[in-house]
Amino acid sequence: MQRYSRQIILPEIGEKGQEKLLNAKVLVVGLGGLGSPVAVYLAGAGVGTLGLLDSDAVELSNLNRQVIFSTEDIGKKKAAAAAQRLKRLNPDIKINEYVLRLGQDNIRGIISDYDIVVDCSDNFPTRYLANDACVLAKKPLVHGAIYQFEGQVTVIKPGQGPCYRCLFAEPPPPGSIPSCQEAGALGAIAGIIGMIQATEAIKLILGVGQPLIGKLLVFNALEMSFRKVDIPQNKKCSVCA
Amino acid sequence: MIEIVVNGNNRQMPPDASIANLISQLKVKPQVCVVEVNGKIVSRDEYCTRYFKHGDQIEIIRFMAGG
Repeated sequence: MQRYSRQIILPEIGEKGQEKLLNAKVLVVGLGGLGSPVAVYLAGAGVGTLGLLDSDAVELSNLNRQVIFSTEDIGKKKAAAAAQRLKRLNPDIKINEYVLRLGQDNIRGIISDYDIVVDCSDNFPTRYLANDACVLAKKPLVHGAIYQFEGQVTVIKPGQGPCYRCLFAEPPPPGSIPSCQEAGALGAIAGIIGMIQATEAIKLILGVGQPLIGKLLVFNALEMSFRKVDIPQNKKCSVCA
Repeated sequence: MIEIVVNGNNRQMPPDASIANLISQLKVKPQVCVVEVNGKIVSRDEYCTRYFKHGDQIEIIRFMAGG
């Protein structure tokens, strides 16, 4: 327990809270700019089981923001390279690797093994799929996304607040929103948003504080501002109503 | 002129300004955002006919999926 002594001192955590963390199972969907800090901080905090899901391999252009990887990881599958790094960071936790893309065919089976899902993906189809599956399975989902110098975080807790579709009912037209590859991404922005996602996941595990349920945290790095916007529950939502 | 609050910042608009006018001024395309007025999401097909009142709180929330 010495590994966790600095957080066990916190009255909101203590030994009981640490037990909760060690017993928790969290799935990280996407191991890019967001998934990197999420996985590192959850492993460091002692989240006992971490699922790492990504179908891609590490590329040189990932390394400005995907801090879990090193230059020697280029070409390796992200889930495997991240698992290797996290085992060195914290050998006490269990890590499950998923080298695949989430789809209608596999998502329900995968998320059924976890308490919380953290959406760190980089595309709308996966984000809608994760939302819909988590709502149906009643799994809390910590959503985070970035675009250039901005980021957003919200927590979807089925039955206790709105879901992603309550805010964004349908995906935008294909091609209307540039990807990070097209629009660019600053590593530190992904780091900030990812660390907030990790914090929200830890709060959910511990049952402390006020998670961002029904709130969208909007970050703008150029103004260096954080704003919380209310997300109204859509009584006609196609998924959660 | 009336004063509204857009993403936390005060903004002067003509009294007959609509959501469509505002997002056009801000160079935001309607298909890449959601607009809330006083905490309620406004449907895109009402952007041209939804006029502001003094003191309205507007949130323009961008779609983003990067990770």
